[in-house]
Amino acid sequence: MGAGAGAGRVALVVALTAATATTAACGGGGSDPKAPSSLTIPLSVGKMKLPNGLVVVLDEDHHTPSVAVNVSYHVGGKDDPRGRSGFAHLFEHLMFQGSAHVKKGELDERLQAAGVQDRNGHTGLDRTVYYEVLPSNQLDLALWLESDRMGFLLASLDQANFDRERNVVKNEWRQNYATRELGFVREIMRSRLFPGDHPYARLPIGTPEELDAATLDDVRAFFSTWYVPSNATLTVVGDFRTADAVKSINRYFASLPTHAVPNDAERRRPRPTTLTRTARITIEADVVDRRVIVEYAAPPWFTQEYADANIAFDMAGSLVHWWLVDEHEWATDVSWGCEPAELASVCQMSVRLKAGAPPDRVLGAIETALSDKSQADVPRRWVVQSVNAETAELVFDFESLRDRADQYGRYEQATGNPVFLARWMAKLTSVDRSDVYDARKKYFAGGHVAALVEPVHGAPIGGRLTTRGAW
Amino acid sequence: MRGLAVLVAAAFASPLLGAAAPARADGDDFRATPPPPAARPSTFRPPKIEEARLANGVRVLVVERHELPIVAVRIVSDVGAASAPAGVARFAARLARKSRPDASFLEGPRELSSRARVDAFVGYDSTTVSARVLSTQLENAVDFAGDVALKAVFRPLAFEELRKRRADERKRDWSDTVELAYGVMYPQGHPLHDGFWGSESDLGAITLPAMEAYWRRAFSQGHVTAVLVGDVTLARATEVVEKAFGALPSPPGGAAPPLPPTPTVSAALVPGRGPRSIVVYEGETPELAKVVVVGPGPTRTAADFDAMLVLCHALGGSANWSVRWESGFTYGVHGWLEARRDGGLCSVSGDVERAHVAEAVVQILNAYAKRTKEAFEESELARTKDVLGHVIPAQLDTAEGTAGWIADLVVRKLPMSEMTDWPARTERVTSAAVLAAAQRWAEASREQVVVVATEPQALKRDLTALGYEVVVRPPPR
Repeated sequence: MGAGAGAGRVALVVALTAATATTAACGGGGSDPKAPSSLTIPLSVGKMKLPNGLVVVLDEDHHTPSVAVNVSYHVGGKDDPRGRSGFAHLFEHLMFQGSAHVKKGELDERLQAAGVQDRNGHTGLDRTVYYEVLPSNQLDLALWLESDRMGFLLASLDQANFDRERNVVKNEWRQNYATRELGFVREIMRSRLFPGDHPYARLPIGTPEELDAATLDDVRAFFSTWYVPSNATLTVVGDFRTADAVKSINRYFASLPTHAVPNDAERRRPRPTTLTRTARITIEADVVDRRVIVEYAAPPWFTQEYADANIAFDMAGSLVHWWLVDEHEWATDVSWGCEPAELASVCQMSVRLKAGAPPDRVLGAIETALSDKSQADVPRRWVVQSVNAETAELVFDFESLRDRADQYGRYEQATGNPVFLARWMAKLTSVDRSDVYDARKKYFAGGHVAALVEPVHGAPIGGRLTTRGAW
Repeated sequence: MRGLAVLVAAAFASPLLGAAAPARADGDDFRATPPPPAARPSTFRPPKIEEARLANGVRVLVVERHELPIVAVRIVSDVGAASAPAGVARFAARLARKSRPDASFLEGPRELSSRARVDAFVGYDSTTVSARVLSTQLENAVDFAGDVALKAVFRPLAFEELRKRRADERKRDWSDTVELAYGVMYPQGHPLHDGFWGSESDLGAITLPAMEAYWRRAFSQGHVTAVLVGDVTLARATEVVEKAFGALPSPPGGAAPPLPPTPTVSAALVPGRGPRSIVVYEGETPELAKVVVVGPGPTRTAADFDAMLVLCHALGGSANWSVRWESGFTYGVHGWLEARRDGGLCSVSGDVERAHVAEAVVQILNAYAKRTKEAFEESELARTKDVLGHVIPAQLDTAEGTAGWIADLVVRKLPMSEMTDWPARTERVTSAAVLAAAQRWAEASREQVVVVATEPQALKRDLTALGYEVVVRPPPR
């Protein structure tokens, strides 16, 4: 047993409450929005840290007889070993293959027998998350299972399991990327948006070739390095009693060994893109419509700078939609959004062109909407509408037990505050016209990637880079 | 300017400190075996559904939940794709969503500002306009939904664009296995024979007047129910629904007509179907094949629906165990039973590695065969029922899930007590009942297999050698 065992296992619970105020204006009818009114989102959680470093977040909520358990490890695709892209995700799959006291298949079998309503895992750029939603009287079962794979995964590791699960991951790659419309476009664009040694220059799914290169030794090293309590946040949301949960969590997790993860500050350090010009690329794919897709790097997640950039980009999306879909009728639809991440966020806009629409002018419209030349085109009500849109999405994210648990874990790992929602909404609602104008100059006037997707019958549906049809 | 105050209060909650467990009081023995469930049972409390009715007959159903400032809205009609020529309903829904009479730049952001996510979609026996919205934006969202339902303008240019787009998509997206399964299961003339979009000839036959007639009929008196769940009261819900739907028109042609009869699944099955056949369509993806094994199922209100639901869920589970967990041939396969007024299909489907598709088909069919011959072991039955028994509490976790459930009950003509009746009925399902349902609905002559794979002749050889009858067909595009 490790350093965390023994006396001093303290369940120090800090109760955090957050009542969030934001604008809630109506922007219809062409008039300015109504004066902001208060929107209260009551959040009340307990937080404690076990001596082995495991952060625990608890939110009692008895509205339905279920409980969500979420374990978030602060490791993701960005931490893939060199030459092993996709490894963090492959490892996530191995976490479902059994552990010292849970034989292969038993995890799923026991959860099903307990009436599990949802369970899965997912690997992002910065985090890997495992969760279960199950009847509340089965909370201890979920804690037992999670603690066993947190502490004792390697005991069940064998080559056959590893090979089979690697094959499953390759099938996932085939299903969700290779045979998915434009499934490779993000990967192609990220590899241009960020320099080759940037952790975000590749996606967590990796490549079949590098998955094939992975070994059991890689698995052991990865587990030993990253899968420790001090690098994890356990969140429980739902129908339980805090005192009971604290007792159980101590029982199952407090004796797990731990150590500090290496270079922790360094690997969290923001790393902006070094791209200084517009990188135009052409992608051919067996799809129906031409598209223009642009990607910009933005500031790291949950900073004021990211809030400014996020609102500026959202407003630009609305504007581009209006210009291209409604006014010029060059496009059938426009989608846009920003993906917050630890080292650098990414904002993407995708325009589906109508036949005959000029891609150069479509790109020009996007760049104009994001340029610093259009300060006059920033009515206050647009800012408020974009802020409302973003904050509404944040509220929706806190509704289900599963999603709320995930959001607490994410905020905790990003900021050290599971109810950072309140501050994050305050940052968003503080954005005004001058911030939007500044954000355009700072974040969207520099280098970005612009992809023209050309429909080519017989090309991969996922897309491939081509030098033909350069634009 | 960074003006807004951050309202975060933090306090130490000392009463909780005493909850810490004594250090390693019982060693690590607890790790060897899983803990039993807590004594405290999970008690499901069904939502309290309140009801009002507008003067024009629109039913308003409300569940109050005030934990978050969110409201989910479903404007649901019991008129669905089954009552229109193939393709008409889905075309109408797609166009209605984007065909508001006053669409403008100001409207787009208005929707965005509320994140109302107003959507329109059709099912076999329902048409729905839905929204999820902050409660501060409720009136906007219901107005918006009312415009989509009652004032949609189907513009010729947008219609022709969608028709052309769909024609192009058909050339690439023909391989949806559920839609292909409909083609195998239902005869020509059935509304689903060519799926919700219809065939190429259906596509050419769809007209604007047909879509308009369908949409007006769906959202006319006698067919509409408004379901609102979340941070709203019955009085407020009635007020906003009255504002948006108070002028609900009479159905075209006078009083609300009865729904046209729709063929039952069993009657609609291709007549004379002999022993199971495997239909292989030539696919284009070298490494991945698509597989669906499909059979008929009972109506939503049939006595054996619950047993069949247990069966289909278990079939998906056992097939996934075999094909994914034991063999690694897939990212996952799953089973489901469609709930329809006239009976839906029970299916197991997924994407499978091309090199192992024959083995996967055999594994799935073996799961079916076992179910028609052997009763469930009690432990497996209990496990399946446990999962299904918690479906309702899980779905009622959110306002949207709750609204969706209530809308489904309305469409299926089921009482609101179904939320408590159904889990109780599921609990009473016996292994004998499941076996009887399997023998009635999943016997070998009725389930069919559809595969989309490259090198279909090679696959035919492989499967024929295993004793299956295989038919290779060109892509239906």
